[in-house]
Amino acid sequence: MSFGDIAGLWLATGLTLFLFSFLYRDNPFYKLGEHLYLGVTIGYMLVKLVYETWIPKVWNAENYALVIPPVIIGFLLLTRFVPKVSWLSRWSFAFIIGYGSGLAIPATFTSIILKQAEATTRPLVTVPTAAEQKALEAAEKTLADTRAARGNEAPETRAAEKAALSARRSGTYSWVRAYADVTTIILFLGVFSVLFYFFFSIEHKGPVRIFSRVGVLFLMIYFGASYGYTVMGRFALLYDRLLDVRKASGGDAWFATPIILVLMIGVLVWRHRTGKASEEPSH
Amino acid sequence: MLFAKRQLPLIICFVVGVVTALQDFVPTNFSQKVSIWLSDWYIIAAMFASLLGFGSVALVHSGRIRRQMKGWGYSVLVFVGVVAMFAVGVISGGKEVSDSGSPTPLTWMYVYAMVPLQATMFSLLGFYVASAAFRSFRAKSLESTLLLAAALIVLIGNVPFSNYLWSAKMGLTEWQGIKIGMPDIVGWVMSTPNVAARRGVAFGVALGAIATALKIIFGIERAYLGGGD
Amino acid sequence: MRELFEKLLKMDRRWIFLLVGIALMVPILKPLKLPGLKASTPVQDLYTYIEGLPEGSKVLISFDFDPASKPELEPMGAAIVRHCMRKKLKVVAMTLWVTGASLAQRVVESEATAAGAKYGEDYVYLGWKPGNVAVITGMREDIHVVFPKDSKQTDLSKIPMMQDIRRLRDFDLAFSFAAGSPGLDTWIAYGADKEKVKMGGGSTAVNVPSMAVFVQSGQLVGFIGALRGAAEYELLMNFSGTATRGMDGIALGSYLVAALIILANIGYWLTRKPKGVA
Repeated sequence: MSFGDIAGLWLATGLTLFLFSFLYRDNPFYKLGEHLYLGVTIGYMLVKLVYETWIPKVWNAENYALVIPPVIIGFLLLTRFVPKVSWLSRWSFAFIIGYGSGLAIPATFTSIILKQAEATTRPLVTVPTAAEQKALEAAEKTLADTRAARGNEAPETRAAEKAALSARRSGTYSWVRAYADVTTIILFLGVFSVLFYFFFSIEHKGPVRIFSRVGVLFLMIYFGASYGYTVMGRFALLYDRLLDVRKASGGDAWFATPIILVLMIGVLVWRHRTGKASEEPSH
Repeated sequence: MLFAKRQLPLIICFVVGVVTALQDFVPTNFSQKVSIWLSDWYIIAAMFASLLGFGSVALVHSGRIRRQMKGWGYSVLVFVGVVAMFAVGVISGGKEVSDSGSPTPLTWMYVYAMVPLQATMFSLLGFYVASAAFRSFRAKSLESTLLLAAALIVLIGNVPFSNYLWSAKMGLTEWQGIKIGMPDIVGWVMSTPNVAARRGVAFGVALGAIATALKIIFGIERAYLGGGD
Repeated sequence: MRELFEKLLKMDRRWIFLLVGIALMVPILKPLKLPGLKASTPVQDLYTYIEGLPEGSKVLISFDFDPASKPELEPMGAAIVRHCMRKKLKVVAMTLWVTGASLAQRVVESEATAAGAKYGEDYVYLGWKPGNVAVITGMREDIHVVFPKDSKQTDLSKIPMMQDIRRLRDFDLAFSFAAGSPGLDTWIAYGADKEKVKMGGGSTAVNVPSMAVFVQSGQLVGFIGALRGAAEYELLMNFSGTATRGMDGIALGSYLVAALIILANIGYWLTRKPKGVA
């Protein structure tokens, strides 16, 4: 590892442990990390704004005539900071909001409303089609023929058995078909009961109450699943941080983790002893 | 003057909104040109909009420093962070990799300061989601029981090892042609009751968004103008 | 027993923090390599779709996340880039998230170096532009206007592979790896559905329940859900990357939380005061 990498590991480990110290209680290490976080993020965004937007799109523009209007729109936005002329920013906001709204209407309508409604309203009960029944007959015949020709144990017979099994599932009203239909019905009922719960402004009494309660049950499953996934997601982040802390604890990183940890604990204990820590709220 | 302050913004919003929305339905060469102009204008304006946000942050923290409020030293750190990162960015010419192919100082700061700070900040929530579950998830009613059950199915069912016990050890993989492995059960919960609820919510949000967008374009909703005359 | 549970339910939450830390740290110190990983249908669908693309097909990959979601989305992004390069597809990468710009660049470059791909001929990194939906809408008409230069400040007109990539519909497949909005849903609504471009992608765990509607409706050809999805993709690609290694930690953590929920509920039922008594 180069010196730059080791210095970097020390910085990264220090900042990570600073933020982790919040788990014990709010403290200066955490605050330091928190404010630095805000600063470097803004600094980075500025770099990207200058080098990936301002320079290529405005400074080096091929046709300045096309760039002047949006730059004016942009500068007018900044009049927000000058109370006397801040009303000028309304023109810019009108452009930004008008554009966003104009785009949102057709996009939301097609992708969310039409396509999603289409995926909800599928045939609730499906019966085997004539073609599927024919395919079943053919598959059964092939199976019988293969069995007669090759015997029961041949791989060809096994394959034919498999094909016949799947043909039976689509060629008759099988469990698989029933399962698919039940799923479609539940989906349909779920979407409508949730909409019912949100939209019906009539008093929720009798059957309306029951149907909208069904909607609530669906919402609960959605919330529960969301919670489960949130746990997994946060743990993935945490795992990665702990992995980095562990990587920085060995001799090749000059023992960054243990040294920083000991120093931090030392400072926190000292602050606790001298009474400086009592100013921060604890858990 | 009042026209420039009140009516003109509404007219701009109406014209831009209608032109943008109609572009989708009249795909001619000219309207495509207008569309690309508008999106390019928006991109450049959005750059300034970010500056608006940074300006507000700067005002808050410079105010704290000026008034020497408690913890003003931390506000100094915000500016230290901005200046350090920006300076490093300028030194690197805004590039991640130098012309010789080695990572620039910008990359160094990004990898060793920004990534750990941001990633750790959000990873802290991992601890809190766990303690929240222990403290507040109680099967008190049918609703809360369903919520708990869905959470447990997702938590346990998404661990590959659970599927190993379920399918490889207990032999639960298929019943009458219906797949009943752990991922299939989680998959069903996610693609059926979960999709139903989420889609209901999405319809609601979408209808609301379209209604708001129409109100904005036709000047009924004017909150974006702010207060005053 | 009752008193024990009463005490347990009231314990300082920092004990739970400690348990979480231990559960995630154990597999880091000693990998368990728990078995049982199997590709789910949406992940398999995505893999199969890419396998079916002919050599030289054009693929757009938008890395719509920042360092906060790096552990979850970087592995799947890397696996997809690797797959595309293995199949010799033309990769155009970009991001809608400003703070993810360097991250996306690193993923693409490291996979490209490993695959021996050539910049400008096999892959390009366009970088970032502000404006979210405006970027997508602009790309529908002319990518060269939205991104006049790539992230190395080279004119797009001078990059060989960009000569026949002008608009969004020139892509055979588009991806978004999204930590929220703008992300997968934005790409679907403002880009893919409009231009009839096939769309695939992945999201953080938090967004899996919301993205499920697009998987069910078929608006996505395939989908990678969080770290587990990424591990499944690594399995299909026959390599063991960060996602696969991370599964042990997630496993122990998830079991711990499930156990805590069950324990808390047993405690709740045992210590519950009968109705009517305050």
